[in-house]
Order: sequence, then structure tokens, then C-alpha cells
Amino acid sequence: MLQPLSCYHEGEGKMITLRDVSKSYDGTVKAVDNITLTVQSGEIFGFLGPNGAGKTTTIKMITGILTPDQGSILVGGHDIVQEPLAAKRSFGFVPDDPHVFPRLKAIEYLRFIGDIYHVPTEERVSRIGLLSQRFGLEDVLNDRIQSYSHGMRQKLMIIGALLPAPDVWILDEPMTGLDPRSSYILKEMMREHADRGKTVFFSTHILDVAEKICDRLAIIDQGRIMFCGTIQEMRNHFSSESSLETMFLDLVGATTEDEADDI
Amino acid sequence: MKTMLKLARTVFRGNGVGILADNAGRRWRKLSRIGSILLLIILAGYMAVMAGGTTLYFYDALLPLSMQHLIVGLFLNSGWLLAFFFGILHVISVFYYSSDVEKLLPLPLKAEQIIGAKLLVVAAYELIYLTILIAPPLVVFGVRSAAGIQYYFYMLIVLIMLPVIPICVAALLSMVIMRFTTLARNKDRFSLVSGLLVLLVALAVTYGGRSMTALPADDLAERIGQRVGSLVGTGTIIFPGVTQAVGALTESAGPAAVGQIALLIFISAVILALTLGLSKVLYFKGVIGLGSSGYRRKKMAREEMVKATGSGSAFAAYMLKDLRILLRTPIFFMNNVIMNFIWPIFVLIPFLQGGQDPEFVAFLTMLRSTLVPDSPTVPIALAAAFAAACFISGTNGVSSSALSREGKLFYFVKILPMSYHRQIWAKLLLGMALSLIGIFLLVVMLILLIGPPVWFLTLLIAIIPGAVLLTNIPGMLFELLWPKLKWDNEQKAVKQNLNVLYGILVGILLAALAIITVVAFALPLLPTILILCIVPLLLALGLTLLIRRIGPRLIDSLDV
Repeated sequence: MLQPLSCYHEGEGKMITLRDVSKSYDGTVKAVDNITLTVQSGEIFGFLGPNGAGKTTTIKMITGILTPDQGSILVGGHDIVQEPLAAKRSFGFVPDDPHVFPRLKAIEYLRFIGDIYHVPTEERVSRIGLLSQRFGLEDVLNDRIQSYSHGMRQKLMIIGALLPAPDVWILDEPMTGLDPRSSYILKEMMREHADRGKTVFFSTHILDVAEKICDRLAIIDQGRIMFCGTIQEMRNHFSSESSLETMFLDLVGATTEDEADDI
Repeated sequence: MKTMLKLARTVFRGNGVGILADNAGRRWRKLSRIGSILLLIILAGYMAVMAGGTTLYFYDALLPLSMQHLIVGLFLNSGWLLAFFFGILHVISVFYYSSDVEKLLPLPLKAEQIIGAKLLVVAAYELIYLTILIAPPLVVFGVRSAAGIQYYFYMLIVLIMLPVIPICVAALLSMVIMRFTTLARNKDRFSLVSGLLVLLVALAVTYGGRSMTALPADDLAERIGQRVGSLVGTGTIIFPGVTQAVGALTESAGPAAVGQIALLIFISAVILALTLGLSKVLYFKGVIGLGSSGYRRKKMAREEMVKATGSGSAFAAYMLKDLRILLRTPIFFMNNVIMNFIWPIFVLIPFLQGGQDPEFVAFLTMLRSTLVPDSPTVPIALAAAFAAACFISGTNGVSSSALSREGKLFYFVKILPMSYHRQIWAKLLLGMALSLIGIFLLVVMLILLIGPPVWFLTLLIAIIPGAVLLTNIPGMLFELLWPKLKWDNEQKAVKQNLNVLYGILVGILLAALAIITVVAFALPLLPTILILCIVPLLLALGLTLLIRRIGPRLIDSLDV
């Protein structure tokens, strides 16, 4: 069986740091089991894993929605438990399910976000204009969110998350529900953001996307990190030129087979 | 038939009929279920006693004129009308706005199975209402007129058959409305309008009931007879099936009753078959595409954008967001906002009715004259005002549903860079502001109707903050301890949220405590002011410190 890996990098420029983080929901089964990882500035970090692997739980702990049972999490250099407000100001978050206040108009929601994050009026007007145009929402900003489709809500969540211009983007399955054009634009924006020396941390099921845009990635299964590094490092690790999909299935399949043997 | 019954059971559950609260663990759920059922029994019992009492009143009044049989006609006509009125609301809700429509349509079910199951659900709702409202009067009539056993047998058939025709008519009317017009295609607007209509009907019944029983005693029987007779006469002609039902019950001893019952069943069956046939044509074309609402597609000009996104304080933005959701979500609007305006109107009704009555005017003058500094009435009046303020503030449920209303969106509370403490206070201040609106409306009414002296008004205003704080802060505490965040229907966040009930109970408890303390100890003015003004503020301060201490920790511990 593969041993869980640490994904910790020493040195400067760490935007997200998880150290020995664990979380269990009912006190018995660990959804996240002793994870350690760092995400550097200027990098797009992909977080991959099968359903129920612990991706969303990890993201919920990074964003402060859940409190870890043990370990520490730093976002933008601030501990999410000790200095929650400073940590929360440093990231923008898009959840996997774009639930957003349905009875607000999109523009009201964005104003709310702008006020909470103290975005100056001029900046928010120009960013809302720019982002809504890129995602094709400029004509429906004055409509209630309840009239939006799933994909439109997802785009609105992305605009809301990026409105305060946070250094760290945390995106949980951001491509789900997006049309190909918006998906392409988002990938482009993620690259631009990382190239400006900022950080993108995102989870995905779409291995092609991860293969194409991630600078580094981690594969999580049953709450433990099974691999962490670049695609090339992964190929070296497996001594093969296979696709990410094949290696991913090898990794995740390996644990499943071991489990079957145990049973 | 078996599939249809199974489907009806699923639709019934999906409509949130099960009054189950899942604020906490299994034990709480069990307790809350028992509590809800008890509450329902008490309410149903109250309604039944009221309806039975009214029957006795009318029966005795009409007996000398030998017109007591009109009572049966009166209640059956009222039942028909109620079943029709609520039928429209239920049909639109169950047929068009329940979230199951899109899930049922792709299933391999026959059209008549879906329509039949939904009609059964509507009939179940109506049967509950009608059994509570119509059965007691009919039983009272049977007992009072010494009817035989066959009367009760016919009564059972009538109760089951009575809603069939009005539901069918309501269903067809609703389907035509939904198929060919856009009147009710906006779910929010429909919920709001229907909610307000129900409220108006309730107010009209209260007002009408009082004016009916307030008839002068000398020609009481004759005038009741005339009114009831004309009402029944018109109704029986308009409402199909009622003539047969009335005939069967008023002549239950004779053989004609069997014929009347058979005719009632036959007419109902024909209309039901006709409705099922027409529904297949009307229903599905009206319901498809209902969920997808359009948007206007109008680009905002830069000036509009600047105006719409102008910056303000984070705290104000948070309150504004919550207020918008309260005002725009029909179920929240009806339960949390309208409630503040209802109680002052209820207080106003007796004033409106008794406005011309010399005795009532004399009572008001007497009340005004007792509001002098040394009068023993003043402390009691202040306690009553404090009690009213607590009651109004406790019943709006804004603070006691503040977190539950977030539901799935509760994660926003956790990710926003705003301290939990500030978020709690933004929600609390909104609750307090709405409480204050209701209370001040009452104060304005008191000023207009009684015209109390300025010193009394000053004292009155001084006791309000304590009442508002002492009802809102515990409401928020209940929410912090047992928020009901898992719901699929907004109704569950307020109507099936035990915290709202606890909030109402706190209001009633404080009201009772204030009156009992002042009256039982015959407190003079100064201690009364101390108890109603200073003590609540000190208690509120303690609760505020408690919330400051435990509130953020409780929010932190909530897993979402």
C-alpha cells in the first residue's frame, strides 16, 4: 500500500499552509487524516480525489466553515482559527454548490460583498463591469438571482469571490455547471492570477483540466494525501509516461484494492 | 389505485405537512413532534368548541321560529365556500408550486394517477379543515334535535362528499388561470397575495362574528332568522350538492334522505369524472415550464451601476441584506413582518365596533380620567402596556429565526470577514427594529384613541426598550443553541421552528410576570417603573454579556 505523503515546502512565499490537520465528523471515521501541505505564491494548486475523499472537508477547514480537530491552517500568513478576519480577507471562495441569496438581485449581492470587504466604489464598479462582461452576465445584473440558471449562479459566485481582489482564490469544483466558454475564461483568469504572483487552490474531478493548468497537485483519498507534486514528479514517481488519468486511477485504485483485500 | 395512493402519500409528505422540527437530536425531534401534535389538538379543540358554541347560540335563537334547520344549511354552505376558497390556494400550491412536479413528470405514471394523487392531497387538507369546523356544529345539531343514528351516518357521508365538488370547481378554475393567464405564475407574488387573503378572511370572520352576536336582543331571533335564511337561500342555489346534503341531514328520519345522499354522490362523481377528464388537457400544458422564470436582459448604464453599488458600512449592508430577504420571501414577510401590524389592528377592532356605543365612549373617558399620577390604575396600565409590548415583540419571531432563515446559506456567516459578534448584533438589531415598529404602531393608536397625558406617554416609552431587548435576545440565544439550518422549504425555518415558539412563550411569560407582579403586590408607581424599566435593562445586559461570551463559540461549533 502507498504511504500517505507530506506536501510541505520549507521557505518563503507560502500562501496556504496546513500542518497535521485532521477532522472527523462523528468522532470515529476521519474525513481528513493528518494532512500537511503548502501552496506557494505564483502557483495553481490542484486538489484531486474521488468522491468522499475529503476534498470539500479540507476546503471547508481552510475557509473557516469547519474547525479542524487538530493541526493548524494559515491562509495569507494568518491562522484561520486565531486570526479569522485577517485570514478571511485574504481569500475569495467559490463553493461546490453555488447557493446564493435567491431573492437578492445580482447587483445587490455584489454590493453586499463590496461593502463587507470594503471595496472602494470606483474599484467595485470597474471590477463588476469587467468581470460581468467576461462571464456574460452584464445584461442580467439587475435581475433576481432566483431567475438565474445553475451556471449563471456559479459565474456570479466567481464574480463575488473575485470582487475584493483577494490574493488567494479557493475554488471548490469551479468548472461544474460552466459552459465551455466561461470554463475557458476562468482557466485563463486562474493562470493570469498565478502569473501575477498570487495563488489559486482548486479542487476538481476533471483530470484534463488539472493536467493542463496545475503547477502542482495533490491527490487525496480517504482523508490522506496519496501524492503531492508536479505532473512530471508524478510521472517520475510512477516511472511512466502515462496520462494523469491512468496514474490517478492507479493511485486511488491501489487503496481500494488494499481495502478489498482487508475485507 | 394503489400507485395513486402511494403517490398521494409522497406528495402529502413533500408538501411539508408533517409538523416535524429537526432543530437538534432525535430526542428533541420526538419531543417537538409531541409538542406540535398537542398544539394542533389544542387549536383544533378551540376551533371546534367555538363552532359548537356558535351552533348552540343560533339553534336556541331560531328554535322559537322553527327555523333551526337553517343552521345545517348555514354551516354546509360555509363549508362549501371555505373548501372552494382554500381549494384554489391548495390546488395552485400542490399542483403547480410543489417541488415534486418536475420529478413526477418524467416518471412512468399515468396522467390521471398524478392528477388523482394531487386531488387526494388537496382533499385531505380540506377534510382536516372541514372536520374541525363543520363536524362539531353538525353533531351539536344532531344532539339538540334528538336525531336518530341514521343522521350521524349521513353526516359522515356528507362530510366526506362535501369538499369533492368545490375542490373540482377550484381545480378547474385554477387550471384555466394557470393555463391561459399569467396571474399566478409568479410563485412569490401568489404566496404573498394568498397569505394576505387568508389573513383578511380571518379578520373578516372575527369582525363579522362579533357584529352578528352584537345584534340587539329584542328582535334577535327574527333578525338572525332573516340573515341566515337569506344567506342559506342564496348559497344553496349557487353551490351544487349543498341542497342534497342539507336535505339528507334535515330530513334524516324519512326515506327521502337516502335519495338525497345517492343524488349527492352521483353529482359529485359526475363532476369528479369531468374534472379528471378536463385536467388531462389543462394541467400538463399549464405546469410545464413554470419553474423557469425569465429575466429582463437590460444592461445597466454606468451611472446606474455607480448608484446601485455605492459603498456603505459593512454592518448596514449586512442588515440591509437580511431586511431585503425578510421583505421579499413571502413566508418570512407574512410571519415576521406582517405580524407586527396585525396585533395593533386586532386591538383596533373593538374600538371600531364600539366607537359609537355610548357605554364604550364612557369607558374610554373613565380610562383617560384615571391616568393621573396618584391613581392606582397607572401602575396596572403600565404593566399592561409592558405586557402588550412583550407579546408583540415576542410573536414576530425575527430574532428567534435569525440563523434558521439562512438555511444552506449559513456558510456565508462563517466565511465573511466580519466577526460573529457583529453578525449576531446585525441580526438582533433588525429584529428589534421590527419589534419597535409594531409597538410604536400600538402606541400611536393609544394616543389617537385614548389620548393619554404626556407624562404617561413618557413612562410608556421608557418601558419599551426593556420589553424589546428581553424578548429579542433570548430569541437569538435559542437560535444560537438550536438553529434549524436543514430545510428544503422556507416555511420550515419559521413555521416549524421551535425557537419561534419559544420566543412567543418568552413574550407571554414576561407579559404574565409583569401583570401578576404589579397587580398581586399592588405596587405603587415608583417600584413599578423600577421593575418595568430598570430590571429588564439589567437582565438584558446580563444576556448581552452571555451572548458575547458564548455566541461566537456556538456559531463556530455549528457544522455546515
